[in-house]
Amino acid sequence: MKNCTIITLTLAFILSFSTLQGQDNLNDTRHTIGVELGYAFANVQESRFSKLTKKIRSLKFGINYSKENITTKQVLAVHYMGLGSSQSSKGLLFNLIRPEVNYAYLRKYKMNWVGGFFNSTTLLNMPKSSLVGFGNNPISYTIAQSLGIRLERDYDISIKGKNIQVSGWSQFSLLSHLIRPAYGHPYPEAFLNEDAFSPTQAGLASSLVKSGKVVSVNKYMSFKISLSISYQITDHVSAKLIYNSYVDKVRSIQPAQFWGQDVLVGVYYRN
Amino acid sequence: MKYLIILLTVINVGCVKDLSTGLDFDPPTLYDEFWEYVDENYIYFDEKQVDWDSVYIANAQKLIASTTEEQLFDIMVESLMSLKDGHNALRSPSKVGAFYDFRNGYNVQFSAELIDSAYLSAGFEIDGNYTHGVVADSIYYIRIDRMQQLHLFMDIYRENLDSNIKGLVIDVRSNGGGDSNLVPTLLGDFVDSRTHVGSYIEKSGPNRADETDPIRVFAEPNSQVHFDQEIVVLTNRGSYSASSYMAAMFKAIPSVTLVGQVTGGGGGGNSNFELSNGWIVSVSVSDFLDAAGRSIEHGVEPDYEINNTSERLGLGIDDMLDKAIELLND
Repeated sequence: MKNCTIITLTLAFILSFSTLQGQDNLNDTRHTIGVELGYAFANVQESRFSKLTKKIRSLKFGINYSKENITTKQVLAVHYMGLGSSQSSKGLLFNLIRPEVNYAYLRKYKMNWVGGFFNSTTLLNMPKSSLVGFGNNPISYTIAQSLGIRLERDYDISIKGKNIQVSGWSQFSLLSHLIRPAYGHPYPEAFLNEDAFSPTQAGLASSLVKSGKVVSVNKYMSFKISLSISYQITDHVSAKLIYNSYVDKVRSIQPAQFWGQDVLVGVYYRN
Repeated sequence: MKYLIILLTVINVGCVKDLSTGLDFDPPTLYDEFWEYVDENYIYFDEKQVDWDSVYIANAQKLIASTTEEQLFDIMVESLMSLKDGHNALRSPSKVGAFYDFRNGYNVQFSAELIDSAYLSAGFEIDGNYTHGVVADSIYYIRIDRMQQLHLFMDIYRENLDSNIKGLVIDVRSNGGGDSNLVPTLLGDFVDSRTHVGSYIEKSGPNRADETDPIRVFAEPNSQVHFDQEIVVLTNRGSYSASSYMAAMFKAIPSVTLVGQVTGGGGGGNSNFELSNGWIVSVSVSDFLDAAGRSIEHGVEPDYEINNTSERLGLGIDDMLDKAIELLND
């Protein structure tokens, strides 16, 4: 709990500092919106279901919006991947859906962008098997809302008069609100009470929300790194090639881990 | 900044290494995985009075690096069979093993054909898993072959339980189970007040004592529909899993009488787990208690124990159904 308090105060400090200092040069604000499409490769460990690590491949797409002036930057990104399948085993196939929303608020410090982020990621796993229909554990979910720190750096390069920007950022969660199934079955803990439980699973959604716990990095860790090359096609339009790598790790009696890599192509319009 | 990115990349790549597992075949390791999963998830060790550690000691010494897949499969199946649980199973892509026969030691005699020809001779209908019609003038009979689509069962008795019908026979004999989740809801049609019909217990952790307290389930009276006819539920040792749940929940209703044999039990809900060679092990991870707080794993006792015999069935007599008709006519 002491760690949680320190992390929370640190985050609050970072975010408030960014907000207070981010009101300069509003007249120079640039808005950028873009769409991204690509392929995701992931390894998934879900110890509730399997001893095996499952390899997942999936289309991934997203929408990215940013608002930036010379001192502050805000980035909102929404991504979705799904329809994964395992190639590791004929016994059990993982079917995954992974929607993600990421909001970052950054402040320019020397040549770097430094700030905090809020991330909401849901990893929904509905395994299927040709050997058996699933019983009491037909589904698993990892629903995490995280706060953490983000660092970013851009390099502008000019080649034959064309502007190319190389960017990199990384973010690391410090504090998360985590929802996972209780041990051995798909129900959230708050559902396993007399006033909440129903065999027909009525009322499950509200119990899901009530079952969330605030955890620090020793229970849930989310780490992302992104590298991209952006090419300015016209004054307002640019294209970007993006590589993302990320790890979401749940440490519990039934641990889970998702390690993914994306290659995405994006097209962006800037005012 | 670039050093930070390089450092973070190295950390990230480091995380990848422990993800590298594959479809290995190492009999001692696989048996350990299997034994551990059962040890941490099976709910009936105390109920079955099985010393799972002794099972490990007895079987682990049989395992050597040259143990074949078939031998390993048989050893795991033998281990599961020691738990005498019809929900436990082991599956490989080529075979299924360890379905314990809960009918062992019981003479299970049942003929759906006899009922259709001799008792429903005035006519019957088949809707999904349900065969239904009038027997003995004013008694309605519904046979449930499989516990699925219970909303259809509700439609059937709601359509047919009119004032001319004085009783209902629900026949779940030799019903292997399925889904009983809707039973408390449909029981709301037969109760005047909130009625405790049973309780669930779920595993809550890997240790033996890690179980939830009993989570009681209630039938809430249906304000729109209410039937006050007497009901007889017919059971035999082949009534397993969800049909045992159903028998136990019905037994909690004052207007219901159970007739026949003790059910096959099967109070556990099973979960599945994949071992690192792709085999799937299933074990019971939850329990169901009747309204009196007894686990139904070993079966639900009838109020009137009646046994059919092959000789009597050969003469066209279903003694269990006859007893049901007698009770409803009284």
